[in-house]
Order: sequence, then structure tokens, then C-alpha cells
Amino acid sequence: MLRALLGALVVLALLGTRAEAEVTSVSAAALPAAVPATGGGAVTVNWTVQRLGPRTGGQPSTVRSAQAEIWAGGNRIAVLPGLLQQVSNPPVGTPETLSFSETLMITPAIARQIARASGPALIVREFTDVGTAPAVGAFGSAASGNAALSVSGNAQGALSLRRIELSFEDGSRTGIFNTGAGPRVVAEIAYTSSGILEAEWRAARVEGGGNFERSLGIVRQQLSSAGRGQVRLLSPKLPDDMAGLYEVRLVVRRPVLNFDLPRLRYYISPEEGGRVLGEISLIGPDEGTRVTPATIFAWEPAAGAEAYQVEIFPLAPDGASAGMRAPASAELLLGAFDLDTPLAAGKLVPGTASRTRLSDISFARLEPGETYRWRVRAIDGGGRVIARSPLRFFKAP
Amino acid sequence: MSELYERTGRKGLIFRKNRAKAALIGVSLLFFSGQAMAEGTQLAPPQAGTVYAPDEPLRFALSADVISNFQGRFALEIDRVDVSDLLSISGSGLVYAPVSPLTSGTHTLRLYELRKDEPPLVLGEWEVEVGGPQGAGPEGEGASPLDLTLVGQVDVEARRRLASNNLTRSSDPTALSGAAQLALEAQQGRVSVSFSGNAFLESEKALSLTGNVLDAGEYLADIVVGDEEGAGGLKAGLRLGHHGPATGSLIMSNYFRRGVSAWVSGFDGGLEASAFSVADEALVGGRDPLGQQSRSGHLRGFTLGTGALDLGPGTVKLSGIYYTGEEAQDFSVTPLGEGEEALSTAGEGDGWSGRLETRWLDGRLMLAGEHARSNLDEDGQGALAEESASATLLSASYDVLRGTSWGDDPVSLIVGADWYEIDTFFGSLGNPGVAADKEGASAFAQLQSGGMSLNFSARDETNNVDGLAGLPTERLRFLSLSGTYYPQIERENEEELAWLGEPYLTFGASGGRIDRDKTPIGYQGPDTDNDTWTVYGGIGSYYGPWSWGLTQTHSVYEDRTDALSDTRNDLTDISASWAVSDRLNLTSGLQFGIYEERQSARTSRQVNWLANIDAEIIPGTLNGALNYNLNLLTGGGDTPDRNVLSGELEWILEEASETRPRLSLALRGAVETNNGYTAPTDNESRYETYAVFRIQAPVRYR
Repeated sequence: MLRALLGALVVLALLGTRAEAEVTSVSAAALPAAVPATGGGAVTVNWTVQRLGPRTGGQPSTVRSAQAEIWAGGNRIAVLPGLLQQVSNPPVGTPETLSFSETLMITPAIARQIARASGPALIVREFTDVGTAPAVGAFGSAASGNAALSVSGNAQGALSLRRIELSFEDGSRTGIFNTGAGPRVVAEIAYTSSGILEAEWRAARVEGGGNFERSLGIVRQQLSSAGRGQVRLLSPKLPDDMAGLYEVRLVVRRPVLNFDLPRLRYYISPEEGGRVLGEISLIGPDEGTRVTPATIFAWEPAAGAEAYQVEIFPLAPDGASAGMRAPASAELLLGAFDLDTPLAAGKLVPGTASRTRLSDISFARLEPGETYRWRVRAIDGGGRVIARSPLRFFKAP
Repeated sequence: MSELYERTGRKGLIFRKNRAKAALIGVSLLFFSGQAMAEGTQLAPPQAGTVYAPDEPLRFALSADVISNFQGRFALEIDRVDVSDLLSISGSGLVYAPVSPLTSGTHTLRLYELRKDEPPLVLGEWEVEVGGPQGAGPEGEGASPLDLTLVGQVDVEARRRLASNNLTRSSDPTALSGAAQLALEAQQGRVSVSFSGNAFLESEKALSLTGNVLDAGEYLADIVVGDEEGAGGLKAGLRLGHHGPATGSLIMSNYFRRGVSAWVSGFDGGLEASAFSVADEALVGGRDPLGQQSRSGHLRGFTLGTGALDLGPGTVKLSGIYYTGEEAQDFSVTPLGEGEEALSTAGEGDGWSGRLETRWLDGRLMLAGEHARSNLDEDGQGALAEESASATLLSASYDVLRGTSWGDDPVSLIVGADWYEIDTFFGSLGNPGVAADKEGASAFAQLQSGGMSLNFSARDETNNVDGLAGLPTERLRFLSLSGTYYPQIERENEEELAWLGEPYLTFGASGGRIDRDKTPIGYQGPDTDNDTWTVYGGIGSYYGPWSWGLTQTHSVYEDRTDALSDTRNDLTDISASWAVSDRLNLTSGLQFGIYEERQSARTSRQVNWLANIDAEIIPGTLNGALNYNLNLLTGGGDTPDRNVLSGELEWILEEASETRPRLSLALRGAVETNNGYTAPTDNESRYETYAVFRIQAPVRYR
């Protein structure tokens, strides 16, 4: 019995003479603690590994973790390979803290699985002190830790732009306009969360190669949506007083974009006769108004106007679909062979008037609930167009 | 017979003062070969020959019967344009003198009597010929001549750089650029063909539209067979080029895409159907002219729709669309005008949408609904699974005060409400920007009378529509009130209240609060509790040749969780314009903005000033333009100050005519100075000047 006891003591002594360090605990924190459910994102995880130095004089050893795992709802949903390791030589019997940091890409697929699972997801790693066999209990040299991660909805976090689509008012991406035509650009912006959009419309001649860019206007737009949101912006009048090829873009200062800024191209052609058409500013109705017999169409008077023509264009002239048609050069009163979008309705008023209402006969031409574009053109005593307004949209009642 | 119209003393133009009054002096005129719908209404024949001259006055006569039964006021429409305000009384009849010569061809005239609370009564309708006779065609039954019109323009400019300094990129000192547009219409019998398109020239390939020196831009071609007078108004057509649905739906936006579609409509527009195949993204250039190459992606499907079907007490309109598609494969080329967060693999999916719109109570009540279903795999062969989702939209509106007046002004009040539910992962290749993941209701009211318009809206919506266990749910409450007022200033003479001009006011306030409605157990993310609100006001006036405007906007974002910085923004906008003469225009606009981030105590101030001079220095010979832009940004996010001055003098050598192009020489240049770059060289002025020779050749054939 004494021999058995002595043998056990020798074994215990041998086992106790630990030559390697051992990992005792792992903790972690993820930043941010939530990523968007619909897009995923990057997460920085900071790992803290506690290690206990060997009982006898040791040699440098490596703490290593080969991969991270993501668990959600009790299931492992993803494995993200990525080696983390450090070499150190902790003093005998002394605890040591090792820090690791990594950036993991939580893909949209992973983010959606997390969103569907109950409770937060866990980013899990097992750290092992290489060279010792994994063991459990008091002498284990591997330990796992995790960082909790959630996903956020569309209303959380800072304002974010998902998509910007630019077009000219007639829906085209390229345009040729006469001097004084006053072209404008429409930006359709898709976003999430809320905040203030800070942007600037800029335009420059293409030949400048990015130099001599003019800032046409500052944009400050409040955006607010619980889910995904959409907003439509209209640019100021683009440079149109000198002929040539131009490029226009919406430069977004805040929020920061993670895609390239879209651009449009247009050409300004000299007006026939060398005259520069004036621009008529529209006073009302505002964009998107539901027009009724009470609605007053009002505009800035143009010098020299003998008459004004209010023109209303359908989006779909033939009922099937709308096409790229620029009404800028449409004849005043359209005939059988007009080359641009035919009028849905119109009204001619004397030059002494700068406002009018549509009559019943014009309303009879409008389909209830349909959207129309309208503008005003000024005509001089010789029957020539001397000024025109930009296009606006309204909805028939 | 009472006098209805007050003569202004100008060349026969009559300016009607009060619509409530009604009068007419009837005359007897010779009856022309028009198609009068009410006995006694007659249109005088042309003064010479069988067609009217383009500027010939149109004279109408009404019989004593029509006059004696007259209760309202008269209205005249020419080709859908209401010209009633320029009807005049001359001698013993109604006369309309064209303000602008009518185009050659056929014009439709309609004379109405308008009575209060009754639909317009057509007193006469005529098809009149103006200008030369219609093109001669082959003799024989059923023969119809070919009408062809071609209009276009080609602009080319050759530029030679004369001087430059400190340009940030090198460019060719000599280059060509230009653009061309062409439009064609041809009709023979019941077949019509139309085409419109543009092209761009830029000899410096690095600056060109598509990398090619000369390339097409966008185009649209239509072939239509049939007309409204055919059997049941049956029409069919083929459309190529850039087009899209007239109105967007949840499943397909109304963006223009290049492609092909075929359509048919019948029963006088009561039924429409189309099939389409378009590229997924915006295409320009000659590459893939029909938008059918696989690398451009595709959206293919069909649409069905009815016109407004009369059910007796109301009308109903149905429409539907189905598509199946795949995104473009080529991620190396960014489509013109598009910017988007994109996955690395092309998505694919399909979906459909159906819409019902009904109108009741003489069109005052509108009830509509749309339901859409989508199947979308956002990354195609990638890790994301296909999502099936739906979206529903219900809306109603009512015209409360139709036919009501306040004094002399009609008044209208339209109220309405929407309810919507769009699933969390609802998406469509046909509507890439669709606002998904929201469920809620909104209400609106629009009041209009005189020059006043008021709009009110309220919205309450939540996200996490699918009720996903791991996602929190947020709620948005949003209110908005806005209005415009442009009063009619009554003046006894021009001098009275002249200082007021033609004034207008705009104003508005809106605010939204987003906060947490439901938080999952163990949720690690931050709370949500923030407000955004905006207040703005604007005022301005027009005084004939000059005008001014002032707008002030104040916006605030407050995050009560302190996870994000509160921000405040103030923007002042001042503009003015002065048409000094018909040859000299001055315009200027100044914006001053302050943007504050409270958490970082950073404040940035931005000034943007634009000034323009446009002058016809020697009429028909020398034009000039000068532009100045000052852009200053100081404080947080500081960027270098920038001044840009650009201008051009153009000497017109030859004006365009039917046989000659327009020729001109121009001298143009630009100077830019910057202040605030780190590298001193970037702060040096940069400039360039060009000598330009310009040719503009119009194309006309009719």
C-alpha cells in the first residue's frame, strides 16, 4: 500500500511539474455591438485571453485560435477562418493577459440569420496554448470565449444612403438643351434611419477634367423613416448660358457614401437666332399638388410677353408606357405631326396675366389620379417663344 | 345682348374680368365644311382658298337660338389648348386671332358653353386645314399619302487651348466635341413611325461619354398601327429604346430603361396590354443597342390594364405587371446616373403587382389598393437565400368641398388616408430603391383657395414588419404642415402698391420622432430615440423685369441616446434677378449655411455665391456670358475655399438657315483660385482659355 501511495505521489508530482502555460479564460467585446440586419457590416472584436504561467521554468509558447464561429439560436450558422496567435513566455506561475483584435465581416446572409434567431448571436473563439494536449479541468490549456452581437433595424444608427439615381426631368440620362432652357436634374435617393442630408449640386465643363467646377446650390434635407425611405430632390437650374458639354453631380458631404457618386452628361446648344431664352420662375402650384378647379397656376411675368401658354403633358402619351421625349422644343399649338410629347391639355392667357386656373374643358382632358407634367412658355408679339419655365409635376384630382 | 368682355384697348385682345358674367353677340357667318355638332354654330370659311393661313383669325357665328338659350360662358379649344381668354368680339361674332401662327396641318377646334355645375356643352367641333394642302398621294380608293417630318441638329465645336496653368490633369490642347439630336415622324394611313435620339462627340476619349470618341446616347423608336377611329380604337405598337411604365408601382419603378416592348390597346383605350424586355440598368452608347445582351441584365414581363370602366355609380381601373429578371453581370462599369451599395454578385428574381383604383360619387371619392409579391435573391448564386415577400398599399381620398366658393374664388379641400405594409425583405430588381420594411398609416389634407395652398400630413409607422425575433422594432411619428400663398393684388392703376410687386410666401414645418417600440431579450445594440424637425419660411416678389427671393431653413436632429451627435443646421438663401433689357440679364444667388455637431462642438459655415451675366452685346452678332462662383467652407470638415470665374464671348459669323449652318467663333476661359490646400501648388491659381470654332447645322425636312 505504501508503494502504491508513493507511486501516486510521483505521478502527481510529475503532473504538477507543469512545463507549459495554460489558457484559463477568454473574454471578448464586439464593436459595434449591432450591425444592420439587411446589409451586415464589419465588426471589431477585442479578445482578452488570461493565461497562467508554467510551474517550472518554461519556454516561449504560442496561444492560438484558428477560426471564429457565429452561433445564433443555439445553432452554429457560420465559420469565419482567421488565425489569431501570439507567442510569449510568461513567468513561472504568473498570470498573464494577452489581447487580440480582429475585424470580422458579418455578411448580409449571416446578419439575416441572426435577425431571425431569438436572442443575440455569439461570436465564439477557442484559444489554445499550442504544444500541450487539450485538456479540461484544472490543467486545461484551451478555453473559449464569446462576444455578443445583435443586428439593428432600418431606423437605428446614423443616416445612411443606399442608392442615388439621377435623371433629367424627362427621365433621360443624357440631354441636349438649348441655351436658356433651364435644365434640372432629379435625384431619387433611397436611405435608412434618419438625420440631415448635406449635399451640394455641382457642374463643370467636361473639358476641364474636374477643374473649374461650379457649386450650384447647397442641399440640407431632413430625412426620417422607420423602415427604408425614399426622397426626391430637384436641382437648381444647371449651367446653360454657354454652349458645350457639361457634367453634373450631387456631391454628398454627410452622410459618408460607400459608393461612387453618380453623374450625368448634357450638352448646351446655341439657341437658333442667337437669342437666349429667358427662364420663367414658377410660383405655384408646388410640385406634386393635387390640382383642382381651385388651383391657381402662377408664374413670374416675362418682359415682352404678349401671351403665355400653360402646357400639360402626360407621362404616357400613348397609354402603353412613357418614353424619352423632351417637350422643350414642342410647337405652341400642336398639330398632327408634332415631334414631341403631345399635350394632354393647355391654356393660353394674355400677357397681362401671370396666373390662371384650368377650366372645366381642360379638366375633362385629364385622367383622374394620373400624374402630369406642366410648364409655362411666354410668347412675344411675333409669335415666338421668348421664355419658358422648368417642368413641374401635379396629380389630377 | 349684354357686353361680357372688357376691351383692353390692345389690338383686339379682350381680357375677361369676371367669369361669373356671361354674354355673347351672335353674328351670322357662312358655314364651312366643318362638322358642327349643335345647330346654329358656324365657322367662317378661309379668306382665300380652301385652307386657312397660319395667322388667319378664326371667326364663329351663333344663331339667335343658341344665344337665347345661353346660360353660361363660352370657351374655345384648339388642339386641346383652351384659348378662351383670348377670344374677342369683333363686329358681330366671336373671333380668335392666333397669337402664334398655327402649324401646317389639321387642327381640331371645339367651341363650348360652360355652365355652373354642369359638364361642358359642345356647341361645335371642326377639323380645319392650315397652311399648304396635305401631301399628294397616289389616286385610288384607300390611298393615303406619306407624311414625313425630320428635325434634327448637329453641333460640333473645335477647341484649341491658348493658355493654361496648374491644371490638375493633362488634357489635349486641341479637341473636338459636340452633340447631335434627331427626331423623325412618318405616317401613312394608320401606320406611324417615330424616332428620337441623341449622340455625343468628344475626341478626348478619357472625357468621352462611354470611352468612344463618338457614341450614341439614348433613343426611342415607336411603330404604331391603328388609330382611335379604327375598329374599337384598336392600336398596336412596338417600342425600342429608353422607356418605362407611365407610373411606377411597388414592383417596377418608372425609370427609363433601354429595351423592347410591344403593346396593344383596344376598346377605345379600355384595355391595354404590353410585353417588355429591358436591360436592368441604365445604358447609354452603342453597346447593346436593344438592351438585350445578358451582360446588361434583363427585366422581362408583361403588363395588363384597363381604362376607367364605367360601372354606373362609379368607375374602376385595373392594372397589373409581372416581371422576371437578373441584374447586370458587369460590375466594372458604373451605369450613368446611378450610384448604389452593391453586392459582388448579380441578383435575380421575379414579382408581380396588381392595382385597383375606383372612383365614386361623381369622382369625389377615390379608393385604391395595390398588392405586390416579390421573390428576390439579392446576390444570385451567393450566400443569401431567396426572400419571398409581399407589400400592400391601400389609399382613399375625398374631395370635400367640390363646387364650393369663398367669395369669387373656388375652394377645394381634399382629405385622404393611406395604409401600407411592406415586408422587411421586400425588394424588386424593377424597383431597386423601394422603401421596404415599414407598416403604418398616414393621413393628409390639402386646402386650396385663391392663391393659398395648405398641406397637412401625419404618419405613424413601424419597422420590423416581419416580426423577426432578433430585431428591435422602432416607431416613427411624423407631422408636416406646409403652404404657399401668392395673393392677387387688386390695383386701380399700375402705380398703386407698385412696391409690393407680385409677392409670394412659402412656409412649412415638419417633425418626426423615432423611438423603440420593442426590444429583443439580450439585445446588444443601442437604444433608438431621436427627433428631427425642420422649419422654413420664404418670401419674394416679382416686379416685371426684376425679382428677389429669401428663404430661411432651420433643421435639428437630436439623439436622446447620445450614441450620435445632435446636429443643427441653418440655411439662408437669397436670390435676385434683373432683366436689364431684352439683351442683358443679371442673376445672383447667395446661400449661407451653418452646420453644428454638438457632441464634437464642431461648427462649419459655408457660403456659396453664384452670379451670372448674360448679354446679347450686338444683336445677332456678339453674345457674352460671365459666371462667378464663390464657395467657402470653414470650421469642421473644412475644405479649401474656391473661386471660379468663367466666361465666353461668341462672335456669330453666320446664322443658321435652311441651307446654311450656324457658324461662330468664341473665346472662352475659366480661372479658379483656391485657398487652404496643404500643398502650396494646389493653392496657385489655375486657368485655361480656349479658342473655339462652332458649327451648328439644323436638319429640317417636312
